[in-house]
Order: sequence, then structure tokens, then C-alpha cells
Amino acid sequence: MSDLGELDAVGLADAIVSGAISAEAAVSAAIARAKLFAGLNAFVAIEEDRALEVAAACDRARAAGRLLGPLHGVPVAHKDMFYRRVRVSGCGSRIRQSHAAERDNPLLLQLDAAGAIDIGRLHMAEFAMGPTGHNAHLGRCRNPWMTDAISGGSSSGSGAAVGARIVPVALGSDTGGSVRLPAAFCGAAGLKPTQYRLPGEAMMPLSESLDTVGPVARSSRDVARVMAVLTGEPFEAGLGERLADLTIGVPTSYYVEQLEAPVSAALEQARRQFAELGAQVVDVAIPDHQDHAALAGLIWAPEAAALHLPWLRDRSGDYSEQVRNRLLHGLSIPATSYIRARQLRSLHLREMLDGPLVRCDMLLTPICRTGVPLADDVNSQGGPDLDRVISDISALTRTVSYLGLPALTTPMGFDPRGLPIGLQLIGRPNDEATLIRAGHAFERATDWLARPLSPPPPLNDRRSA
Amino acid sequence: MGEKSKATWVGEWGASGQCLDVDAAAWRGIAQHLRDDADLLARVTRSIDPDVFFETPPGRFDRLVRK
Repeated sequence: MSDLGELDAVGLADAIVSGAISAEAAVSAAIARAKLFAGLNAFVAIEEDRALEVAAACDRARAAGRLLGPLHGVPVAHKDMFYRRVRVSGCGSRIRQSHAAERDNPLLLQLDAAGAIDIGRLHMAEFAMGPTGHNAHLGRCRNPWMTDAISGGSSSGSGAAVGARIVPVALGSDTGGSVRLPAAFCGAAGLKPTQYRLPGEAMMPLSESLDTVGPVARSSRDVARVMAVLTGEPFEAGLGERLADLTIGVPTSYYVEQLEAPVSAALEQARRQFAELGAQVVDVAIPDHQDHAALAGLIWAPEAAALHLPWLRDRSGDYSEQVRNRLLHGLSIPATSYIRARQLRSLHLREMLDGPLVRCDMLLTPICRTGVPLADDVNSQGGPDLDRVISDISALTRTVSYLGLPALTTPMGFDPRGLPIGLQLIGRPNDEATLIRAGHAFERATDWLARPLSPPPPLNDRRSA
Repeated sequence: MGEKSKATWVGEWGASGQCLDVDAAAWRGIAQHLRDDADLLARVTRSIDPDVFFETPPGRFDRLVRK
């Protein structure tokens, strides 16, 4: 088999189960590729010895006629915030850089039990606060399609490692776009499940009302397989069906305003593609989402500030300026404003459930109004431009987090610079399966996920901004 | 909340037991954020009957999305 990196998790598992390759070969190839692409700064740590031991055990199990599960032998890696007992989970921070957890994250245990092999810990924004991939402590994570471009964040390493075809699956967390943005910017699929769909235990918290866990993956069928493993539900059952039973709405406001030309063109092409796949694609009026992202800020910021209060008092200098300033804002928000925003959240969700999501099974939007930003253009380290940078990048994702709805991203094109453009499918609560089915059909009808990747960036200067 | 009372509130917060070492520029940023937040809530809630909030506990959202 020539290039294992081209296989998605489902393809790789099939190859291992059939005996075409061993788990050890798959893990060795992933680790070799991680080293080849070290210039991306996607990994905080590669756990080579442990991963190869687990792979050898996987191969022995198969030789004895026993398969561990639907991800048998598949190499994976995760954002450095999911705890494993004894192992360090640094959370992209100086404060937790040596913190060894006392508990195992249940989702990692489920992936382990399904046969996935964890090869290392991935780069992330400091305490998951930042959509660009910059990190004052770890250096910047780079985009595999163009190293001058941002990887997206806060699950920066998850996006870069999957986008660079090092691993086919990586878990991330998404509080305002942190799975969807790096997945889209790095040319991968990604899912933000419905609020509370997956448990948030034994992982770094940011905002208990807005945190979700989701996979970045090589394909939507990989997303389906991971969700099946994590929930025990039949996410793969509807894959491959036509979309004739689906109505997909394209909002007539907010999500289609101020789009850069390549994004607008890709959205129009995606719309036509879904229609060719049998879906009824319609324009749909939506309630005003203009203030949703700011309202989300009134929820996550005080929740995060409450979590960080002891460190803000005692270790203030160990935060980067941008993270400290955002937490201080959270600390200053009155409880009445926080509660009002939470009340408004249910009213605004009700508007969607009683309006556009009655007529439509899902909404189709871009993931971002612009192409992938260049790192130098958005490196605002806590300065006055920080709020604008964050709100521009996450304008179309934070709204969905505020509403708690599930959303899937997958590539819908590339811009003239060769950087991916992602779509976003937004669904009804707990209807992730329909989004994944639509994403899978779209991927099979297009070749965006198969586009060849550039050569790896040079190894030097990996910690520079 | 009027402009003056907001400024007073920020001052009280700074002098309270929370007591963090915050420089002047950060304080100005926080004060601006608070003004923006107050404007945001005033704008968004202007057309909503206060009774609606009285009858909407913050936990209602959870019941709408939980399976």
C-alpha cells in the first residue's frame, strides 16, 4: 500500500482487518509522517513507544482471531486537554504544563476499546481560548496547505494533524468554533455535536454551557464511525442514501452577508451540488443572528473566569496577555447579564426550532466569511484588534454554539491561494446523523478531500509566530 | 445602568476583595466591554415583554436540547 495517509479511518481499519497492512505498520507510518511534518508544530508530544506497544498487541489480537472494534489499529491523536491518568495534559498553557490527570477521559477509553491507537497529544490554543492557532507558550501551529496561513483553533493540532494526513481522526473541543474552524481551515471534516450530546468529564473545562467535544476527521464517514463508537448509536446506517428526502435551507441573511468572492462562489457551487444529489435546496429567512456571538460571550466568559479565578489571583503572569484580558472581562460581567443571556439563549433557540428548522432539515452556510487568514494578519496578542480578529473568524460558528445546535463542516472548494474553503451544515438538536449523511454524500460527489497536499514545511523555526 | 453608575461599579469591583493586579489599559478595555455588553442587552431585550423573562428560567435551554 503506497500512502497510508491517503486513507480515512474507515479505509485504514478495513485494510488492517483484511490483513493488507498491520496495525504496527499503520502506527509507524503515522509517527513517521508526524516527524516529517514536525514543522507544522501540530504535536505537543508523540508517544511512540506506548503506541507501538499497543499496535503490536492489536496485531497479536487479530492473529488470534479477535478484533478489538471498528477502529482496530487506527492511529489517532487528540487535543492536549483530554485527560489520561498519570499522563500530562498541558491545555496549551504554562499553568498546566506539568499537570498529570488523576482520571481517564471516558471518550478516550471508548476509542481505546474500539481499537484506536493514541499516538500523542496535539497543539491547542492556551486553555482553548483562541481561533487562530497562535500560542504564546507553544509557538504557532501551522496550516498544512500553506504554512503562512493559520491552522485555526482552538483545536489547532487536531486540524493540522488530520489535514496533513498524519492521523485520520483527532478529538477536539468546540465552544465557539474550535473543532469546525481548524477542520475547515486545514481541509478536513469536523463535527460539533449538539450541546451536551457527549460527556465533558475528565477534560479541561472552558464553559460548561457551551463546551462540546467533537471529532476532526478525514471524512464524514469517519465522523460517523467515531460518533458510533462514542455514543453506541448507528451513525453509519444511513450513509450512502440519496438526499431526496432532505430540505436544505440557505439563509437569506447574516450567513451570506459580506462573503469574500471565492467563499460566495464555493457556496453557490455547493448549493448546486446538493440539489444534484436530490435534496430540495431553498432560500430560507432566519431570525436575526447578528447579536448571537456577543451573547455567547456573556455566557462563556464569566463561566471561564470563575474556573480561572484562583490562577488569575496567584499566577496572573503565567497567562498570555490575550487570554488574561479575556478572562478579566469575564470576571467583570454581572451575574444578571449572564443569566439574561442564558434566558435569551432558549428564546433564540425556540425561534429557530419553530421557524427555519421546521421547514428545513438543515441549513447550509460557509464556515467563515473570508478565506483562511494569514498568521501575520491576525496575530494580535491581546491588543485592541483582538476582539475584531476573533469575531471576524468565528462570526458564523459562535452563533451556532450559542444556539447549541449540531454543525458539520467539510471542504466545498479551494481558493486561488490553494487554501480550503469549508461549508457548514447546521441541524436540529441531536440530529447529527442527518448532517453526516449529507456531508458524506457531498464528499462522494466532489473530490475536495482527495486534493494532493503540498510537501511538508521545513523543520526550523517551528516555535516562531 | 447609566454611564456614571457603570464607571462607579467598575471602580468598586476593582477595590473589592477580587483585587487583581490589572493595569490601566486592561481596565479601560474592561470598561469598554461593560458598556458594549449593556448596550447589547438593552438592544436585544427592547422588544421582549418582561413577563417572558419572568417565565423563562435559564435552565430551559437544557431541556430543549437534551435527548
